[in-house]
Amino acid sequence: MVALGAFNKDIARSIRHSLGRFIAIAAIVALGTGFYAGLRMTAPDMKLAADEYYDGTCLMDVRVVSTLGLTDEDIEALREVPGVSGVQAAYSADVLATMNGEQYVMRAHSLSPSAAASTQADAATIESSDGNYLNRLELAEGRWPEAANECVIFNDRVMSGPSALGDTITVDLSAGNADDALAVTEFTVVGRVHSPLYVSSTAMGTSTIGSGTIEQFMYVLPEAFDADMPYVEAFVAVEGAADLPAESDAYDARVAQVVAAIEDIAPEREQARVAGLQAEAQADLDEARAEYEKEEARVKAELADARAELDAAKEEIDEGQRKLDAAASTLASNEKKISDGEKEYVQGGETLQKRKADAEAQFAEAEKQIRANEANLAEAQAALPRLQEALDQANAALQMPNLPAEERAQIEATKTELEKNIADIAAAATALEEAKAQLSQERAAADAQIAAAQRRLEQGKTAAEEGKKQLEEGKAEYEQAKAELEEGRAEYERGVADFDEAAAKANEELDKAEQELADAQREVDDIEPPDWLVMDRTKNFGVVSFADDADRIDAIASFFPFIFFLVAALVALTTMTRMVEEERMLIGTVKALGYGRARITSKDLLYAALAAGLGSVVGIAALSQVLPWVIMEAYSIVYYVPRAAMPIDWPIALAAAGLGVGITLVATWAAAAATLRETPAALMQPPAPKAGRRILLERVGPVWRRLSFSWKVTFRNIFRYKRRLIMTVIGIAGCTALLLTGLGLQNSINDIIDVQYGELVDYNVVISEKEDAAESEREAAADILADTTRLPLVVRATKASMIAQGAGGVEAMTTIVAPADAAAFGDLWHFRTREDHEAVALSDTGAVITEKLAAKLGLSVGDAVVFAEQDDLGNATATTYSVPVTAIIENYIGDYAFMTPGTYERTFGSEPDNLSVYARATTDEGERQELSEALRATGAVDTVAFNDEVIGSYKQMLKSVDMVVVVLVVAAAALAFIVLYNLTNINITERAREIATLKVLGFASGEVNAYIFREIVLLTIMGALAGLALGVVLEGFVVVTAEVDQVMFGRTIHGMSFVVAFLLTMVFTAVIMLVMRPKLARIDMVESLKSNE
Amino acid sequence: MAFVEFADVSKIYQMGEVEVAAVRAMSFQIEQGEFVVIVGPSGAGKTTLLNMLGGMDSATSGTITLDGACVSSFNRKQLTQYRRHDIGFVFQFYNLVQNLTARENVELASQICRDPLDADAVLAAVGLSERRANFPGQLSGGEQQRVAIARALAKNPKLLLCDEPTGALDYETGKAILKLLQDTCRDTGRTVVVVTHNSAFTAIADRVIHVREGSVASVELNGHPLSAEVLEW
Repeated sequence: MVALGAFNKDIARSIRHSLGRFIAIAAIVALGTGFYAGLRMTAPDMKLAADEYYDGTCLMDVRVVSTLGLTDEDIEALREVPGVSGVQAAYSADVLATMNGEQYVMRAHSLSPSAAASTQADAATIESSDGNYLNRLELAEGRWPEAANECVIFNDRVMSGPSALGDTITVDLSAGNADDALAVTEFTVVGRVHSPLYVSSTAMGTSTIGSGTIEQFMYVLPEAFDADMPYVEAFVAVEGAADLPAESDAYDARVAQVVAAIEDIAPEREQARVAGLQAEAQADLDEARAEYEKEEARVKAELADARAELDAAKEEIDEGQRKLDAAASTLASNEKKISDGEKEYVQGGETLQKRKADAEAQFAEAEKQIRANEANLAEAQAALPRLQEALDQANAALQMPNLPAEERAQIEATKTELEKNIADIAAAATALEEAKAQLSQERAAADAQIAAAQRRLEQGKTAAEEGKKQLEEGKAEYEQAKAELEEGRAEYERGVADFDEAAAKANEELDKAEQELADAQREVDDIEPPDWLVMDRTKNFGVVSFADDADRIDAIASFFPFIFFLVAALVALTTMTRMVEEERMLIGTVKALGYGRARITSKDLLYAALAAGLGSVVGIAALSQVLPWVIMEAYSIVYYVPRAAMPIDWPIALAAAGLGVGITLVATWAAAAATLRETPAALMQPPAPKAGRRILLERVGPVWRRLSFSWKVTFRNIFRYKRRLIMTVIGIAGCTALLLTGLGLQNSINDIIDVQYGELVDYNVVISEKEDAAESEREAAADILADTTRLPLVVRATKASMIAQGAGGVEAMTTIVAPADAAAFGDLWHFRTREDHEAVALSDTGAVITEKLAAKLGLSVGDAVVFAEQDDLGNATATTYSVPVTAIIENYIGDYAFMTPGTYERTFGSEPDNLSVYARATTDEGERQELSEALRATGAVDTVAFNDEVIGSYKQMLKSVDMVVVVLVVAAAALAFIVLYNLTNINITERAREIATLKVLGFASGEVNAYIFREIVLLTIMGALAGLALGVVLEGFVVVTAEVDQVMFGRTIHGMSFVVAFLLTMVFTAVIMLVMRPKLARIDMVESLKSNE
Repeated sequence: MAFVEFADVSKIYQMGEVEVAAVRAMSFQIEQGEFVVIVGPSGAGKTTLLNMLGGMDSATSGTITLDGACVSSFNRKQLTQYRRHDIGFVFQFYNLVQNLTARENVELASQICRDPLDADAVLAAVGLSERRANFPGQLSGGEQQRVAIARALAKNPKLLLCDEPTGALDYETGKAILKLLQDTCRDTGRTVVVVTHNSAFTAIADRVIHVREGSVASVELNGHPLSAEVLEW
């Protein structure tokens, strides 16, 4: 095949002579195929990396969670399930953790004992001899926990800022359901890890506490968990699943099989768990009842004792009273006695005196008598001798015997009388002596008597005084005793009151205990069988989110390279057309020499195929590595999935190359076909020059007349070569569109933060109060919240998480907010429509929902939105509520439904709790810290969440977009360069003669440049303008495709981005012009004009 | 001093290691208002001569002067200005801008120079008033060459240089073009230099410069040039 040899040489020469052209075709095909292949391979590469990471770290295939926890028997049963190759039982609990003053919703996991012995084989592989050690952790920094109060936390690229090894994490167990899950509440961070359970640092999962999303995780030794706790979850590895690519159908089928097998044993295990729990609980309950009964007996006995004691005390008091009364009467009688005695004594004294006086008087009388008697006696005695004489006379007279009898008798009588008088006087003397003796005797007696009486009286007086003193003492004693008794009585009464109270309380408590026991019994009796939730990896947020993002890239990949392929086709078409034209004469000659049409075409086709093939190989080889690398690098800010090898996916590569080469060949064939149809003779002639033609613009006289010739030529040229026009406009449009897409994407993501927190949201902290806070705690918190210097604006609201349901099973976790004061809330959250910025107010007729939620659920104003309550695991329950949508508002982060308290109550049938507080707080970091600490210290506050954290994590996301923007700018620049180079190249070579003519005419180099470049600039402007329009569409597509759950990207491309995209395109054009200027200058007048074309 | 003077002008091309002299030590003079024919066989160096004179190419050595200006010492910029204001070129293949009408092609030249002639007047002078709105593709070869001449003349150049102006034309048309050039010279007093391989043209020239193998073989002055109308070849 000698001819072919010459032929090959000819091709080689052609390539050498038109290297720029060859490279242009190769480059645009490289760009097209490379972008196509690179983007299409990114998703598989990402999934492969994920698969290797999941396999290397033994990420569980199935997670089993029981609503009542799992027992060792459950774990054993799981191991027995066919197809299960490993089971790891684990504890976990969601807690509110404070680290460096920041509060996080943190999931605490138990660390496998095998973790410490595991070794890292490579970035994605952790080796361990324990086949049951799943979700293996990579220790990125520090060491493994060795004590129960040590932990390792997430080595998160987003949040790693505020924590360091050695920091302390304080766990608040009162929040949420973790009451006694952890036995330790203060942990020291000793290391940082990566866990395959959390490949995403922004989608870590949901929690029922705090903000509702998990923000951190930590692994602690199992000892840190409460010893009585059952396992919370079991991670299951499926036999053979690791050998299958993650998320492949085969993998899904294999896992589904095991899931089904586990679900098969679930009912039995659930029943066993109930039985076990009931037995356990019954035992506990019985014990508790026994305890209760014992306690009851004890309490009752104690009460009885107390009663008895009280009674005794009462008795004592009564006795005392009695005694006191007796003492009182004794005292009274004594007093009386004493007063009687006193009276007696006084009387006795008086009597004595009287008696003495009487006696004295008597004695005086008697002495007087005696003295009278003595006088009488003395008189009588004095008369005695005369009586004696008379007697003697009488005697004598009587002796006289004859006395008359009468006289005698008389004398006798007188004698008797005399004798009697004498006797009387003697008797009287005796009597007087006697009386005298008697008197003195009497007097002595009386004196003695009086003395005795006196003595007695004295004695009585002393006794009385003594008695009186005793009485006083007795009285004092009595008073004291009385007081004591009173006190005793009071005490007793208090005792009684106390007793009554204690008894009431004890009884109440006992009743309560009894009630509790009864309740407990009922609970035990009513223990529902637990639900085993058997979840595969699709329930893991990180895994799903990573796979979703990979799919998003794929969606974008299916659309993006289209531009490049289109431009490739146009570049090939124009270039090959030009080439065929240039070789017209040669083709004619060769044809005349007898080469067949196919053979001749084959040269051009081969040329094109070589260029496209080379481009494909280079493009695919380079971009299938670079693009996945860049994209995964960008995603690595959010995801921790170590990059795996990025193998070339041959079907994709071949498809890309086929597309690239095919398009080029078709374009080439189209370019050559027309020329080849001509006869050799015609081909030997120069082509009829493309006739000048009037263009539409010329019909607009006033405009046309104003144009200089240069402009006229420019416009005519632009429309003379329509293919080039289309190629350039589409190519440049693609370039501008890519730039605008990149910049717009950045705008969109910036807007999430800038608009959400700059224009819509005007609060910077959300405070959640505990449901069960004490009144005093609540008041303390209210005091802080009322401090307007710290919190200038505060609005209470009721917050609830529900699942909004739309048609076709669409579900969206929605936060329902019912502000207590809708007007004031409007100052903290500006409700408005996105497009018209029309203010929206809450009304009692329904709910206001956010735009993304409305879009997800396909709702518009007037429709009803349906909310379902969620269970502990975040699944929708059958309890649903419906409320009409009154407005749809602009919002970028989160899905919300707002309503008035009235609507809230009407919709959900429960009274608004107003436990959430939206507030505007100071922006000073230190003061905030202080504020949140003060609030938490009150005990009434659950969480204090500042917006900064959210803003921070979104700013990280922005960084990942920056890389994408760079890729887009580079691609745009490449596109612009290739297209403009090609266009300029063709224009210059094709019009070399024209240019030479201009030079000969004396056009200065600037004028010549302008003559050529004006056209390019004009085409570029047209392309750029078209590109801005295309860019809006493309950006819209990318934004909607790339959008993640719960977040709405900004929908507006900023004016500045349009300007920048346009100007950058112009800059690319200017660069190409600078590059091409020498080529223009090199055009030699003499050479170019030497011969006919 | 003569209007145009070539003094010992050489043009040597370096072809690899071989030096090829297109023009070797050429000297001649042209007076203002002359109709000059430079004649010689193919490859004699007459086009090179013309290109150097027209400022499209520079001499390797020697001096070229036009109207007292030393063209051979001009830099690129000055050469451009020189072409722009002093030279009018007419080529064998017209080199019209296909995308401009006849009138626009003329204006293309006239718009850039200092003292242009009116485009319509020039077109009228070359007899193309009727066709001035036509594109080159719509004109015959002779008409196109007339446009080319009109374009060169419109610049009001000091020197009109024509490189085989009839080479692509039929006999009659060629003759008409020659007449046009001759008339232009006669009527406007403009110096016209025509390069041709056809020695028959020498009859109508005021001055004939014979060129052979890169050198001036002879220069003859023709006291009684024929009118182009009567020329036959």
